[in-house]
Parts: sequence; C-alpha cells; structure tokens
Amino acid sequence: MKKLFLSLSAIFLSLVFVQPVMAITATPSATPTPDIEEKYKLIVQENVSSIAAKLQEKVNLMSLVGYVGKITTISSGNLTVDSHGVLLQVTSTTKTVYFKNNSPIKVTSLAIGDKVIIIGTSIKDGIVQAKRVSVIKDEPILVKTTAVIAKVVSVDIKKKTLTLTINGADQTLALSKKSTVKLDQLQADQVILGIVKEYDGNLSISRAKTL
Amino acid sequence: MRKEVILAVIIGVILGGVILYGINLANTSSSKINQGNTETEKGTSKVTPSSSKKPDNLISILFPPDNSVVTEAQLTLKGTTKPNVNIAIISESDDILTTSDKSGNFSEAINLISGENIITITIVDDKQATSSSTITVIRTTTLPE
Repeated sequence: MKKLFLSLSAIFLSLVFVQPVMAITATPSATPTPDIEEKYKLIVQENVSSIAAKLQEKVNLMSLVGYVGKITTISSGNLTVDSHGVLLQVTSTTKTVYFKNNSPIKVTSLAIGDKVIIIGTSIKDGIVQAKRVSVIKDEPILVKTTAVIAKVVSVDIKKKTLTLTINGADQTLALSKKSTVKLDQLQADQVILGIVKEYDGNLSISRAKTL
Repeated sequence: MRKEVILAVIIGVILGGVILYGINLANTSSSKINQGNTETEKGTSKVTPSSSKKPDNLISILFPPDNSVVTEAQLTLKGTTKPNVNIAIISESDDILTTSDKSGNFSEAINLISGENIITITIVDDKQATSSSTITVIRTTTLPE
C-alpha cells in the first residue's frame, strides 16, 4: 500500500511539474529577446521624441492668436484694444516684446490710437496675453470688396462695362484689373453673383457667375 | 505487487492527464480573453468619431480658426455649408467664386498678405438668399518666442 501511494505521488508530481516546462517549450516564441526589445524601445523612443517635438511646434502655433486693432487705453503695460468693434484686454508679461517699424520699442512708447498687431495666447474670451505687440501704419481701406446678387441691365462690350441693378439701383461697372468676367457671355435680365470693388466711388467687377 | 504498480501507473497517468487538460483549458481560455481585449481596443480605435453637429449658422469654417496666426503665404480654407450652393470668397489678395459639393464641403487655396487678412465667405442658395461669415488670419514671417 505504501509503495502504491509513493508510486502514485511520484507520477502525479512528475506530470504536474513537467507540464509547465512542456508548455513553455511547446509555445512558439513570439516575444523578442531582451536585446532586440531594447533596440525596439530605443527606436520607438527616438521616433516618439521627434514626433512630439514636431507636434509641440504645431501646438505652439495653434495656440497663438492674433488680433489687429487700435489702442483705446494703456494702464501699467496692459492695453485695451478695439479690434473691429470688439474690445480686447491685452495683458503683458516680462517676456512681451514691442515693435514699431521692425525695431524694438518700450511699452511706454505706445500711444492711444496706435494701430497694433497683437500676437499672444488667449487667456479667456476677450483677454489675450501678448507675446508681441507691433505698431503698424494705420492705412485707410481704399478698396471695398463685396459679393452681390445683381440683375444684368445691359452689357457694353465696346466700352467694357456692365450695368447692374444692385440693391434696387442701376450701377455701371467697369472690369477690374484682374477681372475674369466675360462680357460676351452675359445678357440682360440674367441674375448674377458678382464680386464688386468700390474705389473712390467707382465700381468695378472682378468675378461673375450667372445664377 | 505487480498489479499494484501497474494500477498506480494507470491511475497516475489518468490523474496527470486530467490535470494537464485542465491547465491547458485554463491557458486557452485566458489567451482568448486577452485576444478579445486587444480586439476591443483595436475596435475602439477604429471607430470613426461621430460627426459633430453642425452649428446653427449656415457656414462652418473648419480651417483656419478665426484669429489664427500663420507663417505660410498660402493656406487652404476649408468649410462646410449647404450642399451645392454658390460661394464667394473675398480676401485681401483673392476673389473666388466656387460651389460647395453635394455634401456641403468646400475648399479653396487662399493667398495671404503679411499682417491682417480678413476672409469673408458668402453663400448664395437656390432661392438667392445670402449668408456670410468672416474670419481673420494674421500672417507673420517670424513667430514670437
């Protein structure tokens, strides 16, 4: 009986302990050796670092905001700027730089009414922390360009003019310098979508498409 | 005595076999669970993001964002609006007439001047109703540090 028990135990134990070894040897090795693993890690890390640097550059650029407007108030280096009718608070840091005519200036050189380009980061809606404030020339907008829907009244191919009904009034337009409008393809009573330029009270048309 | 040994061997082999089968079954089940998890993860990454709801306004400019800062002299304006509508794009350097595709997408290359670029997009639908949207892009050759 004792022998039977010993034999049974021996067989049982041998089977149990041999199995894991068999399992390991039987499983095809899919995992790389430590050396290759290290190389993989190194290559992956290098690639990740390179991609991260590029992404960071993009993120930095994406996080920048730019506004153009006129300074309305100056207080301790902080500005209020009117940007197309929207008041913007512009804060500064010790790293904020100021330029005029491409030359660095001090914040004290800024004046109310100066037209500036502000590049910085948006802190929250309406508040920008400036990285760079550049004073630019306040040049009036001479050419006003708008998209209009108009009815063709007449076409004068000789004079290269077009008469359109815009907002209920008949207006005669010349072709603008870079106009692609083909007058010979336009006829009276056609409705067009046009891009119209107004300069010094004179109208010209640069693009037209019949609707 | 012989009988006892043979019996012991047989019982041992059967018992060992049962245990081996059990272990093998457990290993297989566990590897299946792992595979399942991996597939789920892969499946999740493949899922396309649900299309974001279009805003109420008729023109949605996807790129560039309003008040963005760029260094390039040209960018590709991308947006969505109603399908197959006429679009006028006016910028400092370009006057463009185009149309949206059947999905309402439009895309046009825009040249930029240095400084402020105001880009106005106007759509005209089949009833000749118009809607406009304007964005500002600042072009600078050097970015602040």
